[in-house]
Amino acid sequence: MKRTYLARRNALLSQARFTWGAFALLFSVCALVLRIAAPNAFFASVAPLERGATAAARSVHSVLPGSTTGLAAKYRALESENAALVVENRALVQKNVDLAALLNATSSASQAPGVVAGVLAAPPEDPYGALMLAAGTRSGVSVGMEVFGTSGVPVGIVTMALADQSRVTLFSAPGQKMNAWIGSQQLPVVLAGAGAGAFSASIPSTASVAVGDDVYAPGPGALPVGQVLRIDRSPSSPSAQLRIAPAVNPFSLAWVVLRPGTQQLQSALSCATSTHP
Amino acid sequence: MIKGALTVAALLSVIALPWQFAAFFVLAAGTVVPLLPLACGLFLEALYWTPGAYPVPIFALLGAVATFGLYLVRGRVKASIIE
Repeated sequence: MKRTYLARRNALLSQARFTWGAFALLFSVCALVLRIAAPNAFFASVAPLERGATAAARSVHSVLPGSTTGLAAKYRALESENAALVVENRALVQKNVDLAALLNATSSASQAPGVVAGVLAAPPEDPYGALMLAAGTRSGVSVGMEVFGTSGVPVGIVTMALADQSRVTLFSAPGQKMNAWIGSQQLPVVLAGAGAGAFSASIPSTASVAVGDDVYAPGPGALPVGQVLRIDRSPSSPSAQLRIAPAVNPFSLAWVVLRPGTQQLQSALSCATSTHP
Repeated sequence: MIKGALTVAALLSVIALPWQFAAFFVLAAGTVVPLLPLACGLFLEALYWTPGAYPVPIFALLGAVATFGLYLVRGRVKASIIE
């Protein structure tokens, strides 16, 4: 039987007409060059697409037909509002306990005014566990500022600031580490980012930590960042692994507040990766 | 026409969809346009990568590997004696 051999060909150069694959590659290379040469212009041109995609992703449930859709949306809104109030209440309770223990009734200093910024892109669209914000140096944003979600929960730190956009690396991003403490006994731990807004930590197996204990980060005072979701203990291991759910869901963040980083935060991130500015 | 629509949809999916869904869509579209995984990987790095976020542009590398694999598969399929 006669075999038919196909000659090797270069997909980019051998065809007379322009291929779609070459067009896509050229487009991506141009985007990369623009990102390097003029990052502010690049992100400004992409921002409307990101904003539209984020808004579409958040409102997709409203497109579905049915009379229960509105009620379900209202229920979810009330549920998230309740969760935010619970977190805020825990922070106030812990703050009260700390102040009472110190026997100093000095009122807390008013927080420095912050910069409110809208979120252009967030996980899971962003694969690196970062937020893209619609505020930059023109709005007073600078590298190193701490970012807070609802109810004053710290979620990340600014690692890149352009004129009109800025990038926030979440504390829960893979590779991030942060000093924190757990529960009323204030057991010190090192939170390791596990991605998707979650944390993990390792504690001695004899430590008295229970599911549901709150996890706090420093600066100023004690700020709740999550809750212990699961404890994995092994009889042969001297340590136990904690799975910690975040107090704020980074997937649903629409607005954040940025404030100058505090000394407590800088100290807590002393063992962070190169992301720490 | 289909290749053009797939190309545009794949590039938009990098912005609009979670990266897991975008990766699946780009891989599927790569069977028709093999350069798409590399192009979309580069586009995703242009959008989201910063040196502090990750040491290397991992998605561009994965896109290059996927494109290489797709070209290998296409070469084998086209050279097959089975019609």
